Amino acid sequence: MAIIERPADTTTTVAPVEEAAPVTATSSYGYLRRPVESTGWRSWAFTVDHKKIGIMYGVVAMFFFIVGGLEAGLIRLQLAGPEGTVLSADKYNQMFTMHATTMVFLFVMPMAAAFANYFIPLQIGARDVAFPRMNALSFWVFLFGGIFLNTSWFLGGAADGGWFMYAPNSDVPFSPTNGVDFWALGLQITGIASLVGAINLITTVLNMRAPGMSLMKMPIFTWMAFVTQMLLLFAIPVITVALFLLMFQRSYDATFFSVEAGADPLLWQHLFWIFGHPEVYIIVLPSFGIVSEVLPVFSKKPLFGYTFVVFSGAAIGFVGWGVWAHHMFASGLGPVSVAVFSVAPLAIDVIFGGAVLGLFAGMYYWWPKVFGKTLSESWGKWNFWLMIIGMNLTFGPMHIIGLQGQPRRMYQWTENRAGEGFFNLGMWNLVATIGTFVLIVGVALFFINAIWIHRRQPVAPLDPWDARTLEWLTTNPPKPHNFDRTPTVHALDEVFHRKYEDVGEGDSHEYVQRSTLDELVLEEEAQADAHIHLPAPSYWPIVLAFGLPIMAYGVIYTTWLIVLGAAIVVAALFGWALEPADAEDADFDPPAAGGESTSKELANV
Amino acid sequence: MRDAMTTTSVESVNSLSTRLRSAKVAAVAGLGVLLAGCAQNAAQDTFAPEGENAERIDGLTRLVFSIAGVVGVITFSLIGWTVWRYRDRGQPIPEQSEGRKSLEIGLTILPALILVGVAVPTVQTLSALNKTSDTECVVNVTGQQWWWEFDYPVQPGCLPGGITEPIVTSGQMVIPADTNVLIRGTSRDVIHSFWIPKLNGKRDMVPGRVHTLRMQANQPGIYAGQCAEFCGLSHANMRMEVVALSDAGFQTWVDNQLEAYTPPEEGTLAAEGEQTFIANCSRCHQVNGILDTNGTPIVSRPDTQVYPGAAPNLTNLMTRNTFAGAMWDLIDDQRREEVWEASPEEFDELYLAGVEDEWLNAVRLRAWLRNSPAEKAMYADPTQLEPTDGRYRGMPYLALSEDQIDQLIAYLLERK
Amino acid sequence: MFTTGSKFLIGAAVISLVATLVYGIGQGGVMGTIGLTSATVARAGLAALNLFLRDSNVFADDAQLDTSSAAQHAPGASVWPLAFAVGAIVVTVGLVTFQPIVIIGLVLVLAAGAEWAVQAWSERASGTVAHNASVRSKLSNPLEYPIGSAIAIGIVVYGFSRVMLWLSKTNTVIAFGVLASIVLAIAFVFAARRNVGKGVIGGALGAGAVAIIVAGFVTGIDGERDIPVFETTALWQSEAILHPEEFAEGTEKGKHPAGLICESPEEFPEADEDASQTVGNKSNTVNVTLGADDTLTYRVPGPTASVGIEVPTFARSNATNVIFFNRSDEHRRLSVSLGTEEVEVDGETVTAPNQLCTTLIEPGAEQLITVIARQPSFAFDDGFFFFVPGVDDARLELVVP
Repeated sequence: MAIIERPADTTTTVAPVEEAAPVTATSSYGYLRRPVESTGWRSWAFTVDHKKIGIMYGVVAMFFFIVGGLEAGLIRLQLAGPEGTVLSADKYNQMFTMHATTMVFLFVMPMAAAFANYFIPLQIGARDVAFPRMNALSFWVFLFGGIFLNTSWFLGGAADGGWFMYAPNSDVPFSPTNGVDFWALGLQITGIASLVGAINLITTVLNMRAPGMSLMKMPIFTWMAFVTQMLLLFAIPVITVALFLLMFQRSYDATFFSVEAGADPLLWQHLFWIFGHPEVYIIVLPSFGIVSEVLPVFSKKPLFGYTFVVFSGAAIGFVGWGVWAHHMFASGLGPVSVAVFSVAPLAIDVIFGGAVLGLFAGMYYWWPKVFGKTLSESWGKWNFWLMIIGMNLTFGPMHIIGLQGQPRRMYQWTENRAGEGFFNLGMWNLVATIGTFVLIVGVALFFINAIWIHRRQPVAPLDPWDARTLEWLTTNPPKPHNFDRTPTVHALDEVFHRKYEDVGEGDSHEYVQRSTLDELVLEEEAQADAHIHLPAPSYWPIVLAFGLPIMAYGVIYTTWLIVLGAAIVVAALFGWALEPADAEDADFDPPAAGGESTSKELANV
Repeated sequence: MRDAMTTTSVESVNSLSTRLRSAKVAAVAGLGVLLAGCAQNAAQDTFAPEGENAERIDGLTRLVFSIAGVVGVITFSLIGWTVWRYRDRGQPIPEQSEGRKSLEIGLTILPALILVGVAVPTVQTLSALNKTSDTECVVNVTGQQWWWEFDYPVQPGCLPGGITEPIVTSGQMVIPADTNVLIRGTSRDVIHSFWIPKLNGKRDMVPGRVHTLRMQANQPGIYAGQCAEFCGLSHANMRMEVVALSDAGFQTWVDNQLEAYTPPEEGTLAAEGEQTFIANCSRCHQVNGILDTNGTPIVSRPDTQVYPGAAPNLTNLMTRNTFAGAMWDLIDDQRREEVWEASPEEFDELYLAGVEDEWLNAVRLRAWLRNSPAEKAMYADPTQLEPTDGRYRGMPYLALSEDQIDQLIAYLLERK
Repeated sequence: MFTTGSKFLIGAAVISLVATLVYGIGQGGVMGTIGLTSATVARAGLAALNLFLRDSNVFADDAQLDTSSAAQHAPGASVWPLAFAVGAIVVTVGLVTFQPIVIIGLVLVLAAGAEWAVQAWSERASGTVAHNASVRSKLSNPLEYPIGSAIAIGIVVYGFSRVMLWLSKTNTVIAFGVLASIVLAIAFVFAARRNVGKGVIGGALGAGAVAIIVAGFVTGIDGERDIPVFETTALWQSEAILHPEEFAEGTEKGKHPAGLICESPEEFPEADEDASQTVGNKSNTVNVTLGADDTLTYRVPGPTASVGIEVPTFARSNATNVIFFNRSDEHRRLSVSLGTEEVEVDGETVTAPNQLCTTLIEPGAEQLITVIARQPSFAFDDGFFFFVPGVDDARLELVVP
C-alpha cells in the first residue's frame, strides 16, 4: 500500500506529434506497470513494505522450524532405544543433515532477518529500508530456495553428508543421489538472499537514520543486527565459493576435492569453517540484541555498559574470523584433539539456548507492536517452562552421552557398548528423546498461543511494557509509512526520555512521567508530514526469485532449464530496471491528517 | 501506563540473559561429570582413562569442568538472587545509570584472567599430547568405509627382534602394553577419525594425507573405539579395538601372525571350505599363503571389486574376536564377558586363545555370510554401481547356500 | 505488384529450390531431399497466397487507410526479415546435414525474430520516426550492445586462437609480438594526431578485425599444428607401451631417447626439461635417498626416525607420498617397479611393465612421487622395488603385503 501521488501530466522524452502516445512515468511502453492492489494476496506477493516482508519471513521461518523439529523428532525416536528401526541408516543420515541445514539456514537466519527487517527501520526512524524491491527479492529468493532444498526429499533423497558436508564424502562416488546437489544449490540460492539482505540493511543503517541519531544512539538490537549483516557480507561469499567448487566437482567433473588428482580434502574444511564460525555469530548476535533490548525495558534501566556491549559486538565481528580452526582440532592440522570435543551438542545447546530462546523472547516482546495484541501470559509461561525443561532434558544428556563415548551422527547405538548401571547410554538416550517431546509440546503451545488464543485477546495498549526505543513511537501495528513525522532524536532510549524527565537535583534522581506514549503518538499525528512518498510495490522481485530454482533444477537435470531460468531472471531484471517509479492509480487512499484526501499530489522528490 | 508494569513476572523469568546461558551449560556439564561416572564400564567412557595420553586429557577436562562449574554456580546464584531481590514490587523508576567503568572493565578482565588461567594447563597438555618422539613401534592405520585396517611395517622396534615381515590385520590393533606406539594413519576413501577414548583423543584419517597419533595403554586389556568423523552409511558401525598385550604376549601374537599357512586336512569340511573360500571370497579377501589347485599363490584383487581398492585380510581371522568392521563379536556373550572383564594378568592368555568353535558367535557370523548387505548398511546394490565405476563400497550379497556357509565356517575357524 | 512480403517468400522458395536440386543431385539423401522439397513447396505456396491476397498492401487504393499510423509512412528498410530467412534455411540445412548447425540457425531465427518483432512494435508506438526509434533502442539496446559485442569479440578472439594454434610454437611468439607492436604503433599514431576521425579509427579496427577473422578462418580450416602432449613421466611411459610404433618413429627422428622413460637415465623432452624442481607441501611423507655411494636408502622422517625402519612397507591401494632426494653427482630419476599389468595395444592384450618414475633431477634436488600399489608384492616373482636407471647398485625392495 502506498500513498501515491498522481504524476504530472508531462511526457518525458520527445515532443509529441498528434497521435503520439506519451511515454509517461506511470506506464512504460504500455506494458510495464506497477501493481496497485492494497488488499488480498497480491498485496503480499508484490509488496515492498519492510513490515509485510518481515512478517512473511517470520511465518516461513516458523514453518521451517516445524519441519526441522519433525526431523529432530524422528532422529530422537530412532535413538530412543538400541538398534532402532524407525529410520534406516540412509534415511537417518538424510534426516540429521536436513535437520541441521533447515534449522540453521531456513529457521534461525530467516527469523533473525524477520526481526531485522521489521524493526531496523522502525528503530532508526526510517520509513522503509534503502532498497525495498531488493528486500522483497531477498524474501522470495529465500522462500523458493528453501522449497527447492526440500523438494529433494521427493526427488531421489535428501542430502546425506551432514550439514558440514565434508569432502570427499560429498563427492559423487560417495553420495551418488542428487541430494547433495540440492543441498549445494539450495544453499547457494538462500545465500543470495542473505547477501542481498545484508547489503540492504547495512546501507539502511548507515544512511537512513533519523536526524540526531548518531551510531552510538542507535538501539542495541539495531547495532547487533548491523554487526550480523557485516558478518554476512563477508562470510556468505566464502560459502558461495565453497558451494561453487562442490557444484562443479559433482556436476561438471571438476577435481577440486579429488585426492587422486592431488587435491587436499582439507580445502573444503577450511572454506566451510571460515564461513562456519562467523555463521554461529550470525546466528546468535541478533538474539543477543533482542535480549539486550528486552532486559532494560523490564528492569526500567538503560542497558548497563551500552558502549562496552556495542564494542563487544563489533569485536566479536572482527575477532570471530580468526578462530575457524577450532572446528578442526582433530583434522591433523597440528596440535591435538581434546576428548571434550566429542561433547558436540554443546554447540547446539548454545544455539538453542542463546539464539532460539532469544528469538522467542523477541516474539513475546514485540508481538503487540506487530499484531496489536499481546500474547497470553499464562500460555506463555507454560510455553517457556516446557521449552526450558525440554531443552535441558534434550541436550544435557547429550553431553553425558558424548563423554561416555557415543559420538555424533550415529544412526543406532548398541546395548553392549552402552555400559552397565542405570545411568548408562540407554537411559540418557531415552531421556533425550523424552526431552525432545517435552520441547515439542512447549513449541506447540507457542503456536496455540499465537494462532488461537491470540484471537480472543483484547487489543493491547499502545505501550504495554513501558518501552524505551523508537519503534514504539508508532501505532500498533505501525501505519504503512511508520512515522507520521520523521522524529528527531536527542538521546539513546529516545522514547524513554520523551516520556520521563529527571527532576532530581545533583546526585539524587527522580523520574516523573511527563507524557504517556499515547499522547506522544497523537502529537506526532498532529504534526504529520503533508507529503509522504513510499516505494511502490513491484512484480519483478518475485519473478526474478522464481527463475533461480529453475536454473538450479537445470544444473541437476538438464541444461535447457538453466537457459529457461536465466531467461526468466534476465527478463525480470529488465522489468525491474525499466518499470515506472510509481503506479498510475492505487485503490488505496488513506486520509491525511485533517480529513480531506490530499494524498494524490506530486511529491517534492 | 503503570498497569503494564504489573505484567512483569513472566518477563523477568523470560529475561535470562543469553550471555549467562553459559552458566547453565556449565552447571549441566558439571552435573554431567558427576553423573557420567555412574555409567559403569561404558566401553568408550572418556572419564576412565587407561593410557598416559588419555590420563592427561582427563586431568585437563576435570580441571576445566571444575572451574567452569564454580563460575557457573556463582553466576547462576547471582542471577537468582538479583531476580528475586529486585523483582517488581511497584518501586519508582530506578536511577538510569548507564554503566560504571570500573565494573565493566573488571567484568571483562576477570573472565579473561580465568581463561588465561585455563589456557596455561591446556597448552601444556596439548604439547605433551603432541609429542611423538618417544615412540618405539609403528603401526599404519588405514580407514576405509566401514572398517579399519592395521598393518605393521618391517621394523626393528616393537619387539626385541623387531618385526621381520609385514603383518596385515583389521578390526583389532594389537600393541605391546606400556609402550609408546606411533600410529601413521590415512584413509582410502573419505575422512574417518581414529578414536579410542580410553587411550587418547581423536585424529582424523584424511585420504591423501598421513596423520600421526601416539597410543599407549598402561596395562594389557582391550580398549574399544570407533570412527568419529561421519563417513557415510555405516559410520555408526565402524568400530575397532586396541588390544594391549604384555611383551611376551605380543611376541607370541607376532610369531603366530607370521606362521606359514597350513591348509586344512584333506577330506574335512574345512577343506571343502577352502575351495568355497577360493571360489567366492578370495577375489577380495587375502589369505596369505593360500594356494590354488596348481600350487600358485592366490592374489586377491579387491581393487577390481571394491571402489577404494582393499578388503580385510582374513589370514588369521580367528585370532581376533570381532568382525565386519568390529561391528559384532566373533565370540559369544559369555566368552566376551570373560575376555573384556579379565584382569591384566589373565588377559593375555584369554585373548591369545582366539576363537574356538565352542564360543564362536555362529549366529551372527552365519547371518553375515548369508547376506551381509542386509546386516550392515553398505553400498552393495549391483544395479546401482555406476557412480563407482561398477565397484562396491562394502561387501556384496554372495548367494551362499547353508552348506557353503557350514564349510566356510569350518575353514575360517582354522585361520589362526 | 511485388510487395515486400512476397519478395521474401519468393526468394526463400527459390533458394530452397536451388538447395533441393543441389542436395538431391549431389548428396542424394532421401530424407533430406524430401525435407528440402517440402520447404520449397511450402514457401512457394505461401508466396502464391501472398501475391493473391496482395499482402494487405498499404499502397492499395484505399483512402480510408490514411489515418492508421501504420499507413502513415512505409516501414523503413530492415535487415531482420532477411536474417530470419537465412536463419530458417540454416536450420533446414542443418537438420539434414550437420546437426550442430541447427543450433546456430535457431539462434539466428530467434534473434532475428525478436528484433523484427521489436522493430515492428516500436514503429506503431507513434507517428514520429525519431520517437519510435528511441523507444526501440531503449528496449533493445541493453540487450543488443552487450550480446553483439560479446559475439563480435568472441569471433575475433576465436579467429586469433585458430591462428595461434596453426603457427609453430616459436612463430606464435613472434606473431604475437609483431601484432602487439603494430597495435601499439597505430595507437601511438592516433594519439599523436589529435583530429583523427571516428571513421578512421573505426576503419582501422574493422580492418584489423576482418584480417584476424579471415586469417582465423583460413588457418582453422587448415588445422592445428601438431601438439604432442608429453608433460609427465607417466604419459611418456604409457606412450611407449600403448603406441610402440609411433614411439619408435619418434626415437628415429631423434625427438626423444629410446626405451621406457622409467628405465632410462637419459633426459626426455618436456617431462624432464621443464619439470618443476619444487615439492609441494604434503603431510608426513617418506623419503628415498640416492646417496653419494649410489645406494638407495629409505627413511620415515619425524618421530619414527628413532624406530629405524629401513624397508619400505606400503599398504595396498593407499596413496603414499615419497620424496626422492638426489644426493649423487649426476642427474638421476627414481623409478618404482610395481610388477606387470595387462594392457590393450592395437586390440591385443599385452603384458607390460607397471612402472612409475620421477623426472630427471639435478644433484642435490628433491622430487615427489605418489605411489599407489594395488596388488601385493608377492604376486610377482621380482616383487616390487625402487631403482635408479643407470645405477645398478641402487635397488630397494618395496614390500606391499
